Amino acid sequence: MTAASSSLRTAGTSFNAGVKRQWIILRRLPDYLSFIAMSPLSTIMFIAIVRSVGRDDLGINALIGVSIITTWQTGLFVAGDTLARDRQMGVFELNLAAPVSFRSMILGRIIVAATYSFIPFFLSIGVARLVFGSGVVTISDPASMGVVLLATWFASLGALLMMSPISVLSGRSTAIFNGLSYPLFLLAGIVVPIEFLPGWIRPFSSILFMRWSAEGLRNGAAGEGAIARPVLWLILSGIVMLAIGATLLQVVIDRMRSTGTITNA
Amino acid sequence: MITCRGLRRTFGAGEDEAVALDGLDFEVQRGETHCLLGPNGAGKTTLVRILSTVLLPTSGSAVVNGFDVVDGADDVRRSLRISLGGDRGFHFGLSVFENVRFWATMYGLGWREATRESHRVLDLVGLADQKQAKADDLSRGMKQRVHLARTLLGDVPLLLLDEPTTGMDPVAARSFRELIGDLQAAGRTILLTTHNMDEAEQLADRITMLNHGRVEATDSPTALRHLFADRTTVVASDVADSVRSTIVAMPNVLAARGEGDHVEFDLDGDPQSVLQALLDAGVVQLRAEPPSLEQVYLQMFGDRGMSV
Repeated sequence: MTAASSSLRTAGTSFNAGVKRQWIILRRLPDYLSFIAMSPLSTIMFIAIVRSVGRDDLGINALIGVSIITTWQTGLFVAGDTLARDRQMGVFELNLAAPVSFRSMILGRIIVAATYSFIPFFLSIGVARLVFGSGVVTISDPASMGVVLLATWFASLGALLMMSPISVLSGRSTAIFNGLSYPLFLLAGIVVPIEFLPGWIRPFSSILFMRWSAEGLRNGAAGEGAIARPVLWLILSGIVMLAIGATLLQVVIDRMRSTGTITNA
Repeated sequence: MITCRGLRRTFGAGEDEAVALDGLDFEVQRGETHCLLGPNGAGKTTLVRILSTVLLPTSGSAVVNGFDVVDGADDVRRSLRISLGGDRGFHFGLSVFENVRFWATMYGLGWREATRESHRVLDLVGLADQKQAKADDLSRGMKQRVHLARTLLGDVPLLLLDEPTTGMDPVAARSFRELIGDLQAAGRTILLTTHNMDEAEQLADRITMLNHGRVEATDSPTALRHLFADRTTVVASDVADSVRSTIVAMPNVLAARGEGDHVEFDLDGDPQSVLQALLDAGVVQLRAEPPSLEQVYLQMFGDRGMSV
């Protein structure tokens, strides 16, 4: 067996361990259901607001906005909380003493968290249709929307991996993530269109994957077919964030081994 | 199996710098059971962490199974299992079995093999009936068994066990010692830290006494007991209080423990005068022996009291 195939095998083994470990946790702990339960209620609230001012046409935008928010929050909470709990339970140093890849294991866990985080999205669509009827939540091109969703999932993997060093370093990652998320929601024009933001802020929106996700999903729902650009940006940003996340994670691990702070992690 | 040369590890910087290991030279032979003894803060756990690659040395070198812990960290990790003991080190929400199987996969075993191996090691440490219990709900002693089970996964040449019997009841601790005996017979190399002198004396081929990050002494338990050749312990039975007081007042008696049925007198120098005094007082069951390992330990570190 060559060194490369051996590395690939151990990476696959630790990835598999991460996937299975995260899946068990998600099935077993009810804490993570809170975001799923919250999602349809937020959707109803936002759609009801736009309907109350006679703007049924914005119903799908409200749905997409709320869904992206809850999906992101669920992913962050699940990935961040489980990593922070691992830190509290003192398993990180044992992970690092294991002969397989720590980063692959983390990636495996994040993939499960990211996939799980899309449950609120589909739940919101279902509840919105049930409550307000399909006229308010019209999806003209489900296939395009599905492609954008897949690209969003990939980009969210990168974003969550990029956030993982914060969870590894800090035991209070949930508070940090909450503080970070709302400016991102505003900047990305998820609920409030970016045209309403000051001109000098708008360029920053372009680097946020949520902006392209919202744009692609709105276009897909409207059947306008203009999803190629958002999908491309989502994939590109996903690749860049995965690379940054993997590098940052290694930097954090090396630093913890060097400073000895891993003993408390 | 393990060679450390000039190994130094500090934490913090400037005035806050704390030296955990101070130019340590240390060796463990292949197949040996080696015990690290020393007071809190002596550097035992820091050494174990460096050997397991989770902590980098500040300077000096450490080689495990022929691989440097810095440059060959991946090969070092494949050579060993580590147990850091205590209440930490468990994945929350996972059962005992799921925890161990997770680690089996992290040690590179496939899913089926990991499942089979997890059953084997949990049976071995007496947790066959606790496999489905939540690991974080277990008592300290039970958690120690899970830690131990984890180190038995697969077949690696070196086990690093940091205070593995802390919190175990005497029966479990005895079973642990028997298990270590089996591992010794199988040729495993074991580095063990403990505060239990009896355990160290029973298990170790050699013992290293650490203090302030330096090696104070390394030798077999028997040799260490003779380290203070001028010290003797006289063990006597049926000693009346008045006789005990007389003996304690003799100039070469350093300390006395116990009373009546079993009294131990620690002596400095020739025990002849004390033995004669006891015989003259009618005490017939008595013997002189080298100091116990605990006494050697106290002799080395006793002046530290509660300081670290």
